[in-house]
Amino acid sequence: MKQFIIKIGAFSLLILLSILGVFCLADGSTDAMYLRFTTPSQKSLIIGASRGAQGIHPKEVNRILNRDDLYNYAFQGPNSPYGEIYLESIKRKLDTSTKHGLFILDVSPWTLGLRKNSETGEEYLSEEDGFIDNTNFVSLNPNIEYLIESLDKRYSDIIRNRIKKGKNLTYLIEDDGWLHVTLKPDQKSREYRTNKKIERYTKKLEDYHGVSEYRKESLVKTIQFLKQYGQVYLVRMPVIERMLAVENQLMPNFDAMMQEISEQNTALFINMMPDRDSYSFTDGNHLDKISGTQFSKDLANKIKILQNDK
Amino acid sequence: MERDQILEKIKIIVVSVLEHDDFDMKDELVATDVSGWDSLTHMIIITSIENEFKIKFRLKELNKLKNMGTLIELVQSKL
Amino acid sequence: MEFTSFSFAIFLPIVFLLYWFVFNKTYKTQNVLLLSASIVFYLIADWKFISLLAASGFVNFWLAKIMIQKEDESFGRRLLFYLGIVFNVGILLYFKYLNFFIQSFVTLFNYNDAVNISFTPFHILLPLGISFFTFQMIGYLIDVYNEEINPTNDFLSFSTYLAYFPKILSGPIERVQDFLPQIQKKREFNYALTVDGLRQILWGLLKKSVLANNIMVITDSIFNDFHSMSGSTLFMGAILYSIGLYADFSGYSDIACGVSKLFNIKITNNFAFPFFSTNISSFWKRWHISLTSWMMNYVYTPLSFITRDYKKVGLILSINLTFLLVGLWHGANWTYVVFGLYQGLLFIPLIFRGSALNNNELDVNKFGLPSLGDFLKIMRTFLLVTLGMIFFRAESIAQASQIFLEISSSSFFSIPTIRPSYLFIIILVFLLVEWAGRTQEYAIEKLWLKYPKVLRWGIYYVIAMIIFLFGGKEQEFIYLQF
Repeated sequence: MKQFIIKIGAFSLLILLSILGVFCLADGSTDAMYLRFTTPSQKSLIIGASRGAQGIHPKEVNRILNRDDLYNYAFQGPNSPYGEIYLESIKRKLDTSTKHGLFILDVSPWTLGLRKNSETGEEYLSEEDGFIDNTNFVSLNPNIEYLIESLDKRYSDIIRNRIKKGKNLTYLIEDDGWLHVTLKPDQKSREYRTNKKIERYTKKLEDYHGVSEYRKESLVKTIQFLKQYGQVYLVRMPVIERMLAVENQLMPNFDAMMQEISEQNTALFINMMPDRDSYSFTDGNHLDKISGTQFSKDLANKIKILQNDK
Repeated sequence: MERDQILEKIKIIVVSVLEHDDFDMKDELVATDVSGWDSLTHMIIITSIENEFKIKFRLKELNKLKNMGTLIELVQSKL
Repeated sequence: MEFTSFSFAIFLPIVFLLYWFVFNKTYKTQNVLLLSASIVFYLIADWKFISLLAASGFVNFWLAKIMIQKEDESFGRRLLFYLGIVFNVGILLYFKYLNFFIQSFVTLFNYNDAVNISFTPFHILLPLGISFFTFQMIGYLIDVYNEEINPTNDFLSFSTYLAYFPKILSGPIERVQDFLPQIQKKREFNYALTVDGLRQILWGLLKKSVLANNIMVITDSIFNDFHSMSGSTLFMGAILYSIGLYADFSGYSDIACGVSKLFNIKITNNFAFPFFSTNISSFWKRWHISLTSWMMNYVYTPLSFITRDYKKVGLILSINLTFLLVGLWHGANWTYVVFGLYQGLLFIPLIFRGSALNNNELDVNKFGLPSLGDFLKIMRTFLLVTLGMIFFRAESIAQASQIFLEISSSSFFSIPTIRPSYLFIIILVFLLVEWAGRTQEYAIEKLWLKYPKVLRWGIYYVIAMIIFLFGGKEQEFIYLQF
């Protein structure tokens, strides 16, 4: 018996160490979220969904605003709409030792919309039991919790993606949290993706029923919380005309609503939608890499002006 | 009827149903030891025994059968 | 809590250590631990229905005891027996089949447009393991009623038997007379059996989480999008599905057996290399063995007894009814009914040809290969089973017929598009290992035992890492919904 315990103990230990070894290889190439849960807590954050994750480069914003602490903590629509779950995660990720943080909140109708459970008619929260909900440790490296609970891949992919890094890998997260997406850049592929996206979002409209009071309140709570540690900016990211038309069906008064929320909560609303024609998109919804860089500079300059006005 | 006689008659039945005599007819014999004696052929064998001896079994009695020995005793008790 | 989950990997060693080091005084303390662990296991898996499981245990335990005190053949005994059957079948019918029966009834009614009844299905959740534990309880009552076994007075052991966590979720459907004697004496630690159990778990995990999960991702993508698939792809998909389902469920069963061996308790092996069967009867003796033997004992035997005077017609009737129930046992859907009927029909030629086909011994030549005749029979059986699997996999009869239609169209002769193609090499290797180990309880039971220890543990290490690295992400285990 004793002999058995020793043997199996040693064997298990060897396996556990090997598993840990593989986990240590996980990095920004693992998936489109993982790396953000491994870095230390941050003083300035970009919050929001995939538009923010791909479109706002912390490096560019930092450079223009002379700071070094902005970090991209935006994820994707279904998992990081405004709500208690995302707010909890933000609270965990925030380094509260500062009073001069910068907080950029990517806002869109999709992260504030009301979805309903078709059976019960109650509000449906798509982020429940998602990876943000299930990740309690947001600054753990390697993040064993995330890798066990939430990684939506085989563990061999950790190794494979690491080897492939730089070569035809769709997703890569940079050290500042920016999500680097590589898709076929030719016009035909873009058009195909754009049409698919518009089609999907038009269909998505059926699931939505205007503004969610819960999400609106949560946005206010998020602003109120972050305000204690610095300045909060609400940003409406640009999309192509056709996509805007879809969004306007969902929330025609979105801009006015954001303006109102910002004023009531001493935040600042920057509407970048009118500048949409100056940028190019991968799928009509997300800025491509070059435009993302430009957009980040433009946004940073607007923030700079607003800061100087104060 | 003598025990041996019953045994002999049952053996003939089993051989004719299974089409082989590749088993050792003794009290300890169980169906799983005999190739082909499965749930499909079992009821055919049982029916043939009933007809041969002009008896009727009850399901409960069949369920309690353990081996060839108990089958012979059951048949004997019915005669 | 599934066997392939992270929480189970923590749960099991804790129970193991407690079992052998803390609760090892008497068989009672051992059973107290197993019962508590099983309750915790069930609570984590499905806390809502623990009271149903408990109620089932209490009622059946007492019914069996009181029933047998009444005189044989008396009205009282019969009444109690039938009450018990109604209770167990009732639970099963309510939770699993109520909506299905009402829906089918309504559809039938609306068929001729005479009346139009609308029916909103009740919102009934399916308690985990219900098909498995109610079947065990029904078997117990019947055996006690038939005086094949005496009812037990040991409620602790009885409830341990019922709730035993290695088998609660998806079987095997264990018989009381096989299980209870094992846990009514103190179990001693057995090194060889424990290592054997671990080896079986490893093999089961490899089958379930690597092979099955990766295959099922592919078959799902094929069958979820069956409209746009060619006949050949659908056909290959069905073959993959057969193999995937086998890897999944037999893998699960290996894990269950292996886990149980860690506590020095043996449970029925559910699979005995069914794909090497030369006919359908042999297949069903080797596939989901505990379910088929239950059905044989409690459905087929009485049916064939009642109809025995009708000779072969009686047999055919009995076997078809039995397989209809086997089908329906899998779930409340007409696809399962057809699946069962189809299996029953496959038996008819066997019954007419008599017993000659029942000799299932495979003869192999000096290279360890079967004769060409046997090989063709094996392929034929596999093909027949695979065609049945299309009903099993399809969501509706309409869908199944569309799949069959496509398979029998000219697109059957196109080149199937299934990626990755190296999957077929993996499956081939897997089948060869299974072939080599087909006389054992599980394929790698005795494999490598002659190797030096270091090499053997090295192989185990490699297998463990393959499971970790290539284990597909947890799919919902198919047999959990049954």
